[in-house]
Amino acid sequence: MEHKANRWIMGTAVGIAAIAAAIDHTRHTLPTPQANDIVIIDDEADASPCSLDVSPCSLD
Amino acid sequence: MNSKATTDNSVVLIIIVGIIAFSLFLQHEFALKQALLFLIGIGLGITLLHAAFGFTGSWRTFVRERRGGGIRAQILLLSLTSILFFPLLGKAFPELTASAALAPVGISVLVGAFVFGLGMQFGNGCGSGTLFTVGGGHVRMLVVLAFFIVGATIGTVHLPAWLALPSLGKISIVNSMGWLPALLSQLVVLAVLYFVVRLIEQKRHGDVKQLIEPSYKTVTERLVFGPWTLVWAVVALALFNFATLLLAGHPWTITFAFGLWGTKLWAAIGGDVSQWAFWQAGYAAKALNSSVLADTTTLMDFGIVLGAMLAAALAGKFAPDSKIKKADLITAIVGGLLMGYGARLAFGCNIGGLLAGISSGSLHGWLWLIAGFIGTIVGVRLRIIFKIDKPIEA
Repeated sequence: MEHKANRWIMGTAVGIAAIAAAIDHTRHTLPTPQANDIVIIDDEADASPCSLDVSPCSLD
Repeated sequence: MNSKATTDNSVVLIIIVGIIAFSLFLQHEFALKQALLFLIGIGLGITLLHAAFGFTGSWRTFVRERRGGGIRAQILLLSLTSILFFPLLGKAFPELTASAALAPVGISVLVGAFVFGLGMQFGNGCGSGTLFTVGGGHVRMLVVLAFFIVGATIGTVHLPAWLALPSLGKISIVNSMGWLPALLSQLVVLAVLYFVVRLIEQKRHGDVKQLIEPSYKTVTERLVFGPWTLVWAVVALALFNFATLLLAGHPWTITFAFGLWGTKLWAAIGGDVSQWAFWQAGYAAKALNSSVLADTTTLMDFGIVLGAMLAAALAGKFAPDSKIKKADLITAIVGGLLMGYGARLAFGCNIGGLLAGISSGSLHGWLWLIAGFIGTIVGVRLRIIFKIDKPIEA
């Protein structure tokens, strides 16, 4: 019985996490690319947790 | 055959479909890199669960019983990862660029790692351990994870104050010595540590635990259904970590995402995070203002949980029977809070602070190891005082 209950709890937790991620993601929709526009994205400078000022990756 | 008979087929199917769908979504929505990092997370989760590769239990076993198999495997992991990382971080291949996990050697790391080492004995899981046991369906570890997130979020609020305390600054042996002398020096230190651990175990027990346990199963059966040997896990974890360094540009990290999730949740329920200095610049600001799925540590953490879930279902171990008592709940909450707060102060958990730090040639990783181990010794004593464990037999 507990095994079954635990499966339901885990399934619910994964479901809630998926919904939360989906809500967060849809609040941050990527800009629609414009035809003939050249977009240069310079994300090298802050592309990873390692580029944080106070600490590199270590801000993990 | 037994392993196949107990495989949880419905969970395996759901997870595989989920992994494929989410990988395709990431590739479509972001880039192939994000999908690959998620899949690396899957590999890490499978490895961690099939090998039961954790720091908490192995450190406690060494402190209590002087059995050092797990710790020796971790030393091998540190050695192999250093061999892979040092040439790359030392610019031996100028065309390949990656960032080391460098952090200041200071009070913040000292206190944070101590608190983390203590907390992981209450939580019964470290950074990686919490994720893979959650994936394994251990409901108590969901509580640990929830409070890990709370602790990490509070840690981000307090970190600037901790960083104002004395520190020696960032010290990289790769930068100061050159990658080859630094690597050789580090390997010598790790070898000495390995043999000291082995000697202590040999002296107490008259033998040492083997890192490759014999099994009646074939290699293929073990690879799919587990259990893996610790040596397999060491090789796989080092290679996945190296792949992360190449793809993401930084070593494998875990707990940055926890602070991010907590801060996003706090903001979502109306909390004001505009005064939290941690989130006002650099990668942190970018992560907070972007989709959570744009953060590489989040993707890899999701991958670890799902990978462990898949491995547990394949092994027939998913969501084991377990009754959570009141005491379990309290230790889970305390452990999670301490680990989250400690990880933030220490610039990462046992993965982002200890493994990534030492494998990057940063001295803060060694300080993490010492302080974290002392924290574990205190945690083991407290477990006895609170009657979680029996007293240590002489």
